Amino acid sequence: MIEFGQPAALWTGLAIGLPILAHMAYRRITERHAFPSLRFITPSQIPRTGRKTPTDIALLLLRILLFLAIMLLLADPYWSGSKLPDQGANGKELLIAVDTSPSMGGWNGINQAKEIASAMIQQAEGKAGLISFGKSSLEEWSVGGKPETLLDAVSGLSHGWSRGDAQVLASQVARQFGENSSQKKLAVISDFQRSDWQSVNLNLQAQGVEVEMIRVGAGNETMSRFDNRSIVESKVVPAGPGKVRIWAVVRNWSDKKATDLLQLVIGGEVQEEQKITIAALSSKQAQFIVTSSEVSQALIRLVNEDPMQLDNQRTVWLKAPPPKHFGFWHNTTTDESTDNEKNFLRTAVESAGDSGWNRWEESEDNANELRMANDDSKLELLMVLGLGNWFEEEGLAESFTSYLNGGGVAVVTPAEIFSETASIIRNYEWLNFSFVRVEGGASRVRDPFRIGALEENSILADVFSGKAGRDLYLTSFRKFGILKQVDEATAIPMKDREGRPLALVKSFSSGGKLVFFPFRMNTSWSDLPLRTSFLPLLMELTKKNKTEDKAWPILEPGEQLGVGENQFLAERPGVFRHAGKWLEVVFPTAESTPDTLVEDEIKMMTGGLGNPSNDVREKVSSSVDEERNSLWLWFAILVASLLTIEMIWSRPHASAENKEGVSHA
Amino acid sequence: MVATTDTELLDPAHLSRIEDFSLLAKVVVDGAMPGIHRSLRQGRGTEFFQYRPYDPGEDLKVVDWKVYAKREELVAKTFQEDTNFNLFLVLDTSASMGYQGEVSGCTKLHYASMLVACFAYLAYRQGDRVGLFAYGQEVEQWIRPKSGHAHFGRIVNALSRLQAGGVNKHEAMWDQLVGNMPGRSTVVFLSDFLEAEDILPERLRFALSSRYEALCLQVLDREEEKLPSGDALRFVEMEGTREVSTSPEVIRDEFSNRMNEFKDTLERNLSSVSAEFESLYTDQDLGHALRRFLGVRNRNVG
Repeated sequence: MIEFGQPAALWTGLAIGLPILAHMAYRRITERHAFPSLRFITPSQIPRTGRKTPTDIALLLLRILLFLAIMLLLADPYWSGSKLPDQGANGKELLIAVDTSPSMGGWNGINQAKEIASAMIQQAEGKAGLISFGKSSLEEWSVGGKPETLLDAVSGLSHGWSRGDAQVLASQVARQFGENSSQKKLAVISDFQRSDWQSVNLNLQAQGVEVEMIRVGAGNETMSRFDNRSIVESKVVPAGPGKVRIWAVVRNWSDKKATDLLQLVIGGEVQEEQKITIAALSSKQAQFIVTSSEVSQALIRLVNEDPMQLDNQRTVWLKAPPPKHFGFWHNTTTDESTDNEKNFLRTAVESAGDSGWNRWEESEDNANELRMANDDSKLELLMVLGLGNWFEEEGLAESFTSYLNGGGVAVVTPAEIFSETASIIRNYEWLNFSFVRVEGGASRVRDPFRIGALEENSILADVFSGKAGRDLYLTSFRKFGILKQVDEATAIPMKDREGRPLALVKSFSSGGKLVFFPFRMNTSWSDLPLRTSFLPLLMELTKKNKTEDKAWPILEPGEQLGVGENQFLAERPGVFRHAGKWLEVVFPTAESTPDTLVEDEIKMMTGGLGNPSNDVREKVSSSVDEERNSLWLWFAILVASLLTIEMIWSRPHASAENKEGVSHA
Repeated sequence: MVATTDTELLDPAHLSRIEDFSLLAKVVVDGAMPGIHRSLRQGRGTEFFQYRPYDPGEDLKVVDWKVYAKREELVAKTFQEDTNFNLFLVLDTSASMGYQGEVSGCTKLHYASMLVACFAYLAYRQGDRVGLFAYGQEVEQWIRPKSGHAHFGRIVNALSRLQAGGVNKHEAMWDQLVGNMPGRSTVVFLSDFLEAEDILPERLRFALSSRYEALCLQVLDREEEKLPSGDALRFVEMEGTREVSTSPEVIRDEFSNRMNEFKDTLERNLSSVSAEFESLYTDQDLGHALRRFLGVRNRNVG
């Protein structure tokens, strides 16, 4: 029978009176006519007429019919009837989808889900199937399997460790059902944690799938979902010789203050513990300082009885990251200048690190490997001392270029014959400048050159501002190479008081850097290596734009590190060694959050018809038992047809004289 | 080939297709009404007329020595003699002049412009000085009287640029005109003179003088006398914002009576100041207006 989606629109039936009024009381609409003067034109009565001929009565009926059709169209008519069972179909099919994201491991979510799933399988009237979904792991037991198999599968379900993503479910559901099934139903059992379900679309009406949303792990009066504390971050850093500092951040998700015990477990024994009180909805840091020992890892544990225990512990490495390597290239037959220079630079760079996490270590092997064109060298800083003819004779230019293009950092000092250095650097286009002469010498001992005021855009300006700059400005240069016409791509961070460059820095697109000092690092050229400013100056100039974090990599379950054979896939929290690296896999913080979707959001997700219960079983149906066919299109066609006929019928007739420009209502 | 009759050459519907007013004036005056004007008086003047053989004994000043240098032939240059007669053409370009009825071939302004071009051409051919004063809400064109072909060209150029628009300011404009009128002139007014039956005669008192002659040509569209057809129309004033909804069928008789009364009043008032008056319609051929103009002109030149 015909029914209406918007019965209130039937009140528009009153509009049927409109065509009758229009029809009976129509008047001629006057046309505008521009006229030179209205002086002698007077207003007059405009004749009115009504339609009384049989033809006009038919037109009236047509107009009434048109308005009636419009009224019914607005009332959203549809044809409803009981849906007859399809005898040839496969009957009902039920697919139970269980969320196995880590958050289901807390708040009793997975246990509730298993109970509900078991009950549904036992009560299923038709075929049933099971699917579990997390971020990417999707386990399937196809629809139509034996109930016993499904029950076993349900009892074996456990939470995963990868951060959940419910969208994978939506893309997999449709193919789980048979094509001929008369009724397809998907029952989703989840805690609907916000981070997992954000932006998920489970509107499966187009595929004819009825969706039922069942919430679990919602908590109750004795076990609030918000009553959770979790370790959200932990780190190990050096704390002086032979000691490390282990610190952790603990988050309280509850709106009440909480006091917990934080334990540090090393080698299976509780090494230290402390009581921490965390304010409502806030975080607190705690730290342990322990001596470095032979034990390489430690466990930080939060002792409490909150309903989400998975995020209450973290494992960390107590091992220091590997040191950074530097090396030297110089003429194999060294002279006193080079030896002095090497000693100065080695001392400076080694003292730039510490004895723990940020160490610099000279690596002669790595420097030699690079000298022999081995691209696998792990050298982070190469210092070429007295760059001269020996460099070309050994054919090192290609390795050096490759090192720079591979992101390496190099420091170059000139040879005793400066022009040799200048011509090599220019020939290989590492830098562009013109060399004038070496200025100064023994005569400049009493009247040395000084560093000019650092320019604002110099990379040294921040380091040597204020008092820190005094020592630098006292530096004396007895001689240095005068360079001119330096190209724009090269930065000049330091100049003498006459504006002549004392250091050139060129950054490469690879991240590599070339630093050229136009003087040697020994006392006959400059006292710079003896000054306290030398170390910060050298490290600032050689610092890469993007400093690499030397901490161990931290991953979440489901993430990967590396490529090819050396790839590491994080599966569960803990500490691991892989391909010479020490990795930490941590519990995904997003899974600790107690926020879940509210009812309205779940409705939106399922196409606006969902109605999830707080606990079990209330249907979130996107389909109804009754068959409902919209008649809107048919009425729209009827209205269009009637309107066309009316317009043709009531158009002005060309044969009528003196009617041009006059339309009729 | 079908012979074109004079009437067709003077039909405004045909003539309005000629965009060049100079050509139009030649077609009308030389083509349709040959001999309507007096022959040119040759003598001393500034406008070159033609060469003729030099008669021995004539003043040597008339010899064109450049021609003699080239051809060793004595020829005399003759010039068009000026008549010392001033013709002033006054044209209304207000918005109401832009009206064109459904059966008319052109707007009132275009009709009046065609007449002005013909009058100017006639004047040029007779050696008269001719000037143009076109106005609407303000002065659109003011060309002081002069003679010669180039001056005629200036006038037709000015005519081609005119467009109907604005609310007419007869009083202010005519005051400007009368204040700058040259001596011994014939002034031809072309307008619809709507609502000007009282102020126009007042401004034309100068016509009482024997030195001046005034000819007022009222240009109307037929629909202005009979109203357009239609059961009901909303009339919108062209020079204002007033609107009146009425049925032309109902008010037609009363409208015609009042319009005739207005024209009678206008003619009577004009005759009291010795100004001649004629009503012209945009579907009427130009011949009548031209003859009327020549009558006035010749009487004035004597």
